[in-house]
Amino acid sequence: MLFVWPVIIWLIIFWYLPLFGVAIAFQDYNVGLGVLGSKWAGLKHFKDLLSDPLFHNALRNTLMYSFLNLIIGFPIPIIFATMINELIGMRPFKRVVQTISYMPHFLSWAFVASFLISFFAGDGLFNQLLRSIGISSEYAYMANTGSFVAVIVISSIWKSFGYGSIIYLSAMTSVDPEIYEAALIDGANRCQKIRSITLPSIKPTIVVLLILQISQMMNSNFDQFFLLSNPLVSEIARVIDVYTYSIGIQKGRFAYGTAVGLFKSVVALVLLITANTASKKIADESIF
Amino acid sequence: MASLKIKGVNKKTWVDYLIVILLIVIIFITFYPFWNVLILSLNDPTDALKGRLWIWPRAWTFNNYIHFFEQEIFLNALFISIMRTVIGTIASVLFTSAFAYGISKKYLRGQKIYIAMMMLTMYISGGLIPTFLVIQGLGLYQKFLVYIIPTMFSSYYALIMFTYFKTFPKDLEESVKIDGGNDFVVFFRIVFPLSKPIIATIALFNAVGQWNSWFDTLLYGGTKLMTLQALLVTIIRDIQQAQELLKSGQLAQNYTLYKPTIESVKATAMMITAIPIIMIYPFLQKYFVKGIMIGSLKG
Repeated sequence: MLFVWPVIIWLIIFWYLPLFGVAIAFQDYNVGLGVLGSKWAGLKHFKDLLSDPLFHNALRNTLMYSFLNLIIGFPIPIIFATMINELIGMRPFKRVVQTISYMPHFLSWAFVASFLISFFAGDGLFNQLLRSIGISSEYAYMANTGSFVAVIVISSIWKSFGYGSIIYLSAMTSVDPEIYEAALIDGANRCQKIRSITLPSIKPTIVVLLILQISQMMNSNFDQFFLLSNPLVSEIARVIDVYTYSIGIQKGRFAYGTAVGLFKSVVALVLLITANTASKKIADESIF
Repeated sequence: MASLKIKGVNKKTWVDYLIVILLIVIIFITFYPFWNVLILSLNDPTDALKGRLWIWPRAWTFNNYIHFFEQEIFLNALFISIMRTVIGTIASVLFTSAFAYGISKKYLRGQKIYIAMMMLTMYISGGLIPTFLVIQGLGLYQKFLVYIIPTMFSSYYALIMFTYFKTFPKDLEESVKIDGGNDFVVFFRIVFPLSKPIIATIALFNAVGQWNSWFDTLLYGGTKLMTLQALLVTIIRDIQQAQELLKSGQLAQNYTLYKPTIESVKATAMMITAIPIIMIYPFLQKYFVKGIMIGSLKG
């Protein structure tokens, strides 16, 4: 059918072709010779990868941030959704709260990074605020490793908590109110109601999103790290996605960069399948 | 939550008040960055250097914006950004929805294969570098179409639309076909108008994506096709270079009383990139919330 073919062609060009381009990872790729003309190099790039200290650094950092985002960042949209769900009535207030909470999601990282860099500079607004309440501080948050990590995690949460709460809230609001009434009659207090009604209503959602987040542990938000990192914190700001870019495109090592990307994808796939199987056994829920 | 029929239940406890207060604090913190940049952009640049602008501009001025629009570099970037957003969104919406409609028809030969091909792209991809090489190979490098074509299709949006189109009753189509219409007629005259919420959602997401993107400009765009967002990124990344530009007088030439600083230019640019989206998304909130719900039912 006419409707379908254009997209299929598009898919072939923009998805499946690059997919085959992954072959570059196994070649001594030469731009002039192209994929078909370059010599094969076997697993050379992957061996380089495993002994590359910068890659190990990138891997460590990536996992650290993903882990922090998981432990700290995953519960927050849930807590936020629960808070909103607990309020009875107050529709206009809830609408406004939700609308504003979506705003960070729609702002680009260029905006957010630009704000953060100014705000947390030595002479930035944050320090000015501290000074105005008596704490003298000239601390450059973006230039020190510990505070840099904190800024990354906090800004990640800030940017995604509102939008992320949508899916939980829609699951919570689809619970039949009569169940809550029944619980009330049985004498349940707020805590018990949350534990036995609200949370189970989002259990499938939590499991699916958890599996997805675990499977994406090798990814990082490229925009965020690219824009926020600076030479002073490069040790802690180097994540795989940015490393792939700097090594692959900026330094022109196409083959090696592709190898790094491929390695990451394979690990991600393994993580996805593992997480899925584990959750099938433990929680009886899974994606496939 | 719906009304509870039991009396005395609507009494607010201290927990309710606590939640309200916490939510207000959260909302304030969420909104503040935007507010801060807004007042910075409305404040005189030299005065802004003194810092401590929390709530309201100290030295009100619209000069930042007026002079921003007088610079050719900025006007150009704005133009490119608008062009790519409008054209890109229309192209994407048509391209994606046509496909989603097509594969929602059970009588399509190979329907399952096409669906599989689409779903597969959600899990695996060629990666940054092979895609980069394909785009170069296609000759799209530094051409305007590089903003449109590589982003024309998204499996995620197609999936949302596909789920939605599947719910359409067959008789709708059949009645048009009996009257002699072909598939195009069915699609444009009937399906499209009926899917307004979904189309609006996808259009919004596409538009935001186009407006906010800067990385493809950096990779494939070149200076002639600079977008607003990429301009902002250049200012952030190369603050040295940007400051040189200001000092060299390219921007400050005609100004006697108004002396721009990098910070105020940055703030103005940030506002211009942010305000269009901020103004639009609340109105489409209903739609995209629903869209997420539909999309999440795929499992």
